[in-house]
Amino acid sequence: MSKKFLFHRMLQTIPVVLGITLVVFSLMHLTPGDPVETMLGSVGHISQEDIELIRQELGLDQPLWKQYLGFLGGIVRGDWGVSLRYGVPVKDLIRERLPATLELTLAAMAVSLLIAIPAGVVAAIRRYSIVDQVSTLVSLIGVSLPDFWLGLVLILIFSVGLGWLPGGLRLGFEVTAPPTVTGLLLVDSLLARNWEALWAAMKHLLLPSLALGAPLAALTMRITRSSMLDVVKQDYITFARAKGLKEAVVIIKHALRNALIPTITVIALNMGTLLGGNMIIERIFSWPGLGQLVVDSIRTYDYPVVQASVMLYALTYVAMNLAADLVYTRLDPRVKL
Amino acid sequence: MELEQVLYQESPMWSALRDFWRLYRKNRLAVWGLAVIAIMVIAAIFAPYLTPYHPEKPDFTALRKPPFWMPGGSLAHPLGTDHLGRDMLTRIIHGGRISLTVGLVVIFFATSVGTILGLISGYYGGRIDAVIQRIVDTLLSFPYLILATALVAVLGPGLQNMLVALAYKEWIYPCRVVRSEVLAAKNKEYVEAAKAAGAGDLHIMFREILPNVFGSVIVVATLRVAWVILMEASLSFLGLGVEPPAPAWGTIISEGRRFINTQWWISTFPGIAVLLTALGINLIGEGLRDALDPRMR
Repeated sequence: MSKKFLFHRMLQTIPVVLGITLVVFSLMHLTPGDPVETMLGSVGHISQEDIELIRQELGLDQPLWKQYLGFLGGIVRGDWGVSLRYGVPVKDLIRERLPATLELTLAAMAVSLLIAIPAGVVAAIRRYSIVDQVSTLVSLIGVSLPDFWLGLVLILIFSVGLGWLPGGLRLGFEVTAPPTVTGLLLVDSLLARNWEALWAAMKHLLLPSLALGAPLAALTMRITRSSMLDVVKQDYITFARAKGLKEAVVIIKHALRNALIPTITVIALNMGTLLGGNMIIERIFSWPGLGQLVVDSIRTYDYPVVQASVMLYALTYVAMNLAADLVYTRLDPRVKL
Repeated sequence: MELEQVLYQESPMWSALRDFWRLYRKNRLAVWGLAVIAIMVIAAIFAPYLTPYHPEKPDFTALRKPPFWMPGGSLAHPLGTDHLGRDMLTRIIHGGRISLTVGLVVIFFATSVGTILGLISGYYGGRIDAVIQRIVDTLLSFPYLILATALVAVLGPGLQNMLVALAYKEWIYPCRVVRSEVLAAKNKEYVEAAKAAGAGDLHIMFREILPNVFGSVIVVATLRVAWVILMEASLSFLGLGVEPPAPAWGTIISEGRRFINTQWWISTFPGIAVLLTALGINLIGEGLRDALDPRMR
């Protein structure tokens, strides 16, 4: 990977990041009426003076370009404003909620990859078999499923019906939480050797991560299958077989390694789906993460929180994409920009 | 002689359609998808005549009736009733009107705008291409549902605003596809020939290139309808779509959540409706891809 490529790729993200700030900034100014009055609409009677005060506080009395520059400056300085609803800095709110979302997202990713990659490989090796046809249909259903509905059905079956798994929250009330170190309950309970909490946390994670990971799993499976089919046709696979290598070695070491390259890109490109999905899945499973915070803030017109978290999501996506491109070039030396 | 006459009488459009159908029919699942969607569309059009009930009027004599196969259920309400005694089947059929309308309207606007911008971006290249593509990249960075939710919150709930919020990002998908197709088509002989014949840019873009990329546009547009319908359901579920008592599928699922322990059918059936619709459309999209994309043959 050349330094030049790296530089060029980074340069490309600058207008995108600026564009993101512009979209986020304009969200607040798209409001048909007065943003302050909309925000305070639910509060009741407020004097005109107070409205003016809040307007000054938010800098809404200044010209638009000045507001935008102030907004940019705030982001750079790490000053993301104060939540109108909770009265605490937005940064603290997000920091408090982020670990829960991170844990859920990672778990969903892990679950979907563990299901999807082996399934995709098997479907490709046994092409046109029953396994292949069933998994193709399952993956089509996977991308057609409303994830929130899948969450409800999982709760209905495994929680309400069978009573095997909890249908919400991260730990439940019977278990004492481990001391917070990373905020990720699995890691924290491991560190504290609190096996009871570890088990409880895993059980609580299973259903939401399944619901969140299903669309990604469906997509990953299809990509893994089609890129495996491409790779298996290549000469070096024929050569590896001709050398007398075991089929399992050929498939896993020679074919899968190369087939994973497009898979990684697709996963990174679909991080947005995962991040967007947890907004709705967290709500269903009463998961105290960022997604719930966003929905609540949107409903209560808590603009500073909405702006900061929407921006965080978008920047995460940009970073993931950049990372995927870099991994891509590392894995496939032919790629050069 | 007779055969020749028949062949001569056939108009070119008709024979193209027949060719298309012959290819499309090869994909069995795609035919099933078409059947499911055809039924959905017909049900949506004739919704008021299909059941004797009103989708929004409560009926306090028939509260929380289970579906017909369960004890206490009857064929008068085959899928049961909700907490206000409204017939589930009626509400689901009427919900289809909302979902299909949103899907088609959003995709119509997004595809029109996206195709034009994609043509311009790919054909002219240079600075205008760079600007359009950076806008596309920017919008791509926002998780779809989060951006739509934030927009609805800013614009206010309701059908019209939801359409705007969904189309806001949706146009980038046809735009990207059209752009890359145009880049590939730009150097083909037929474009060169048109240029040599003195055709203007507009003529080349819309008369020469567009018909050749139209197949891909149709495939993307079809597949994206499924996605838009899923997003509409999600927005309605969050209470940011069409406002109750309108029977949007997402709204019904959300209402039924409170009764999931006892009246499971309220949330379950509209979800199946969303699933079947999205699946049917995705299957049609796959079939169209097989039939329209010459590279897949």
